[in-house]
Amino acid sequence: MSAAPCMLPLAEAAALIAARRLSPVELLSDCLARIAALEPRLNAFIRLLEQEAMAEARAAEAEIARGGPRSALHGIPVGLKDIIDLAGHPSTCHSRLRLDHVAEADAAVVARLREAGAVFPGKLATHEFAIGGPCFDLPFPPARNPWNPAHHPGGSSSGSGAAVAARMLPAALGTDTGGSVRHPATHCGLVGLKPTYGLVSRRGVFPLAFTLDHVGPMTRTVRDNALLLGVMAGPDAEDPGSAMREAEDYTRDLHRGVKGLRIGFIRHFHEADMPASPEVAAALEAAARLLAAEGATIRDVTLPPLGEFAAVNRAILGAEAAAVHETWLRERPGDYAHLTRRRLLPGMFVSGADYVQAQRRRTQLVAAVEAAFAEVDLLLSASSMDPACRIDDAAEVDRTYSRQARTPFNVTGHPAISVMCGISRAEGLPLGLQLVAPAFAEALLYRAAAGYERAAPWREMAPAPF
Amino acid sequence: MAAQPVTPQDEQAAVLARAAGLDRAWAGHRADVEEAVAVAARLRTGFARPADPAVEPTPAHRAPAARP
Repeated sequence: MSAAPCMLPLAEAAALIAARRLSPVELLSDCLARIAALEPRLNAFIRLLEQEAMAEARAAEAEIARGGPRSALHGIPVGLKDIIDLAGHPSTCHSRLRLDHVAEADAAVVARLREAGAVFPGKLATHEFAIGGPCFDLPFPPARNPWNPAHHPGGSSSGSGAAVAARMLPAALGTDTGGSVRHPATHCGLVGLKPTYGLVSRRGVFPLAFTLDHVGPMTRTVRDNALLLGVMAGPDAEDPGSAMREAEDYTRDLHRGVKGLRIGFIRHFHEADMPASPEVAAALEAAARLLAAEGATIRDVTLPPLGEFAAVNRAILGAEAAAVHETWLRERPGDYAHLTRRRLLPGMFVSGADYVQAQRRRTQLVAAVEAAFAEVDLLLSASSMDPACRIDDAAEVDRTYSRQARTPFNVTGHPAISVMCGISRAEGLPLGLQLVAPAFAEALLYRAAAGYERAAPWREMAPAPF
Repeated sequence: MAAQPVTPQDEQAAVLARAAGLDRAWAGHRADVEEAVAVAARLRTGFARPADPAVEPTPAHRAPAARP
């Protein structure tokens, strides 16, 4: 083993652990050293759980020595966005409103990871209650982008993105209601998946919007992501939105490449509806050419305008989030960050009729995307329209955060993945694309993403040490 | 300092804030509430209303499963 353990992707670390050439204690120790070195500039963690994680790693080491690993995740450190419950520890949601809340039980997805032998080194920064943006008026500072700490890392799963990109952790969980796994994945050069709605249980995860919330894996490679989803997915009778669908081996088609796949390119999202920055547009065109060179057929696909998907998402998200936050908005409005309050308050003024109209239009938008999948196997689109801006430029954060094409697939529930597809010349920050598949076709999505990842040069790129 | 003139929009926002139970937010963060009223109003025209009265919302309501 030549690379430092913390630099290994999950699958490579797991293979070395299975071969007894790397111990979970050694891996965790190296991750903790990396965290100690970089955390002061990145603010990825809200709570570091060194002692508890080390005990878990020692237990994993002993068990693996006796009988081999339980799964590919046995002894692997996985970070948790701090709206995901870890028994016995606070889930603060990065908010002073939840500083005192201690989770009594693991979230369902954490229980699955624990059963598989994962280790939990800490709770990670988020935008407050998974909405808003980077804020400086909260009890914890906002996470920063490891590629350039002067820039934001995307969000709301900001600490998850920062920690994995900085090689502090091989993997982390995020949540995605309007793009919050794919956004930091895009800006941190990672792989981030929003699974099909209901494939991963939301039980024990603080809600933002019940019908739009998803829990998703964030990793450095497509294979790592598929391995993690294979443990996270599965039925949960106690989650009313659970699809009650068993997990699959999502790695099964990673080797097959994109040859023969029909990919619909939703160009109008970033060309007409919300024009992307020139280098994002160029990176998407280059990615489409590469996919074609690898044997995929690329054709244009037209969906309803991006702005309409976004408006439906905002109406639904606003009303559902207002239902969650109503009491606090009425009684403790000053305890939110200014930006969070601005994002949550509009939901208090969405009428019942508007909410139902948005849900009715949603039915038609789902049908429009389903109709596209009658003609193509996958969809390709922009993720963010711009590279990550400076974190201290509130006006630019405000302007660029909503310039994205991720919300359509929170509205429709289809699985969507962000993969790195370039690097901005001016700032040296990652750019990302988005691939979308029919419901529950995550294996197909991973196949295409892995084919692109192998053909493109981006996987080997990492933030420079700072 | 002279008091700000009260416009019909101000009065409307104040009424809406009271109706939503946001008296404290109105008192302490009035600009945020006014912005929220405007944002919500814009959302109303941000997407097409289905013309077919029979279009159901997503997700459709379902009765609990039958007992065995």
